[in-house]
Amino acid sequence: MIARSIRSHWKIVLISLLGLVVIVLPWTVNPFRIRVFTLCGIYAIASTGLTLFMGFTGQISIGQGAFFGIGAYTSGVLAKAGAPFIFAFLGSGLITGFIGLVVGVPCLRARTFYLAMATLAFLLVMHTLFKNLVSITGGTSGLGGIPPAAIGPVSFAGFTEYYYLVWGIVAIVIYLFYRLTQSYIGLTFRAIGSNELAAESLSANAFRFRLLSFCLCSFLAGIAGSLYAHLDRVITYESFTLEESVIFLIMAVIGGLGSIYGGLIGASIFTLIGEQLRILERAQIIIIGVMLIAIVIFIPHGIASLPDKVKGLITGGGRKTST
Amino acid sequence: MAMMEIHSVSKSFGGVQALDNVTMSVEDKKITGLIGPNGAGKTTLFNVITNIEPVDSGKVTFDGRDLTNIKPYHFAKLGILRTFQRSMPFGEMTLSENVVMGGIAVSEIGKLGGFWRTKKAKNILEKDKQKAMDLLKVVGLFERKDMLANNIAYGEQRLLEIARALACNPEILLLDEPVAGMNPEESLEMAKLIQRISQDGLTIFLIEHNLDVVMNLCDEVYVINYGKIIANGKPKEIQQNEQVIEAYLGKKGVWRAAG
Repeated sequence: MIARSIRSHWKIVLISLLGLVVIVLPWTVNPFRIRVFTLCGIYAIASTGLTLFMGFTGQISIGQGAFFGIGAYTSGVLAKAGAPFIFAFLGSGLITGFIGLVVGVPCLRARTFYLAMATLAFLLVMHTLFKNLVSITGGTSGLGGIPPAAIGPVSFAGFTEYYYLVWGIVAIVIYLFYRLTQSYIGLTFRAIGSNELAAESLSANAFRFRLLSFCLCSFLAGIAGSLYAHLDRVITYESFTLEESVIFLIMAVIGGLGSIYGGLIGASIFTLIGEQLRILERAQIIIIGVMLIAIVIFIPHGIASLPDKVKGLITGGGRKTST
Repeated sequence: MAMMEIHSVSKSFGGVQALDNVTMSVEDKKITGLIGPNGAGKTTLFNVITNIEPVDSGKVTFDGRDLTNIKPYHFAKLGILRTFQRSMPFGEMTLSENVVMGGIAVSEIGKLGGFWRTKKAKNILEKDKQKAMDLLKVVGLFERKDMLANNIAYGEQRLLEIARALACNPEILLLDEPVAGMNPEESLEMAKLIQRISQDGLTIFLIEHNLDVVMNLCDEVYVINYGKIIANGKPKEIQQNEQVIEAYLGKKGVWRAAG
């Protein structure tokens, strides 16, 4: 009875267990190491944006690092100008999403390879702007003195408090992503990613939906950037490079592009491996690289697709899509 | 007035005249067929009707409405649904999801709906799902509703596409070689399905190579060769038309369906 119950509700059980791990974690680690796990959550949000854009609508973006930076600087500037955290947080998301719209309109006319090149170009342009718009970004010395996050009277200045704030937002993001996949918008995204011509014959405006997907992706990068800005409370242009874009991409691919948990899984694996191999920094890159190759060859749909694969092996039959 | 009228449509690609002054009409509630040798321009005509390719000259009207400047993704909303020569299912989605996707355009909840599960939303989503189930039953795919479209047989994928198109409440169906690549049993099943749909009042315009199917199904047949309409009439008349026989066989001969 219980076994059957667990089998059909295994997803909920697993999520609850993981949720428990997240909640309990700060009590089990040195407060100074909490920052790494907070960063994990921030990266998870940014790569979740990519799993949406790349996994569901089937496109490619190498620009996520740029949007991450735009979000960070926007939030930093707004907060320093006196805006309350919530305002800076949502504001940077919306502004970054809007810039995604502006960039998307010309770029999304292109597909796959050419789109990748266009987003890469955007990244390089933004990187230069971050470095040179000294009055806004502080140029090479960076943007410092960003006030800590606070919602009303509750301050999130401490490592632990901020950790919970970030992971609370991660949970909300994934929940909303789940709602999206259950909606007709999500279905249309998948249809367009699968076969654009057929989707258009059923009255889906493919360009518009791709644009929407891109805006959501950059919105998420924006709020992730905002959370990043309020983490160390100082940011420099060196944090928003091709390396970040690639890291988000790798996290999304390893985690699973077709899954709402893809970004989270990828970021977690990245962080855990980084944590275990703190001393051997070079080894980190190699291990991630090998893992990426292995995943792409053997489990192309990412770690998130493993449960269904295993289920398929056990039951052997028509397999459902994973959510 | 016919449901769809094609007025002197011409289209060339580089030096090739794919369509040359094509004029024809698709009658309301009837099954109209278009046949012709390979490369005669049949699929190009469909592409031009649905504006996937623009016409060079001429126009297409539907219920009197000029379709010239309508964007391709708008056609389904007008009630014009088409299927493609190659099978085009949404491979990574289940059969059920495929058909539900077809119905989104005409769903009460709208294309952007279903994000917040209000009571009203849940009811509409359930209704849409039920409609998809009914359509899967019509084409005989209900038992496999949770299978991925990539995992069903080619012939079944083509049936799925019909169900998907029907979900959009079409007034006219443009079927591009519906039985292409099918064995005789599958072709018969598809032909029966098309007949059933037609009897329910849907107008059908189909392109086909399989002359058995065309001659048995269609009320009116047009023949195209090198981009020009060379004959039209009832199937019996077409079968005896010398020009048509010559176009297909290159010389006068006994009419044998090439299948």
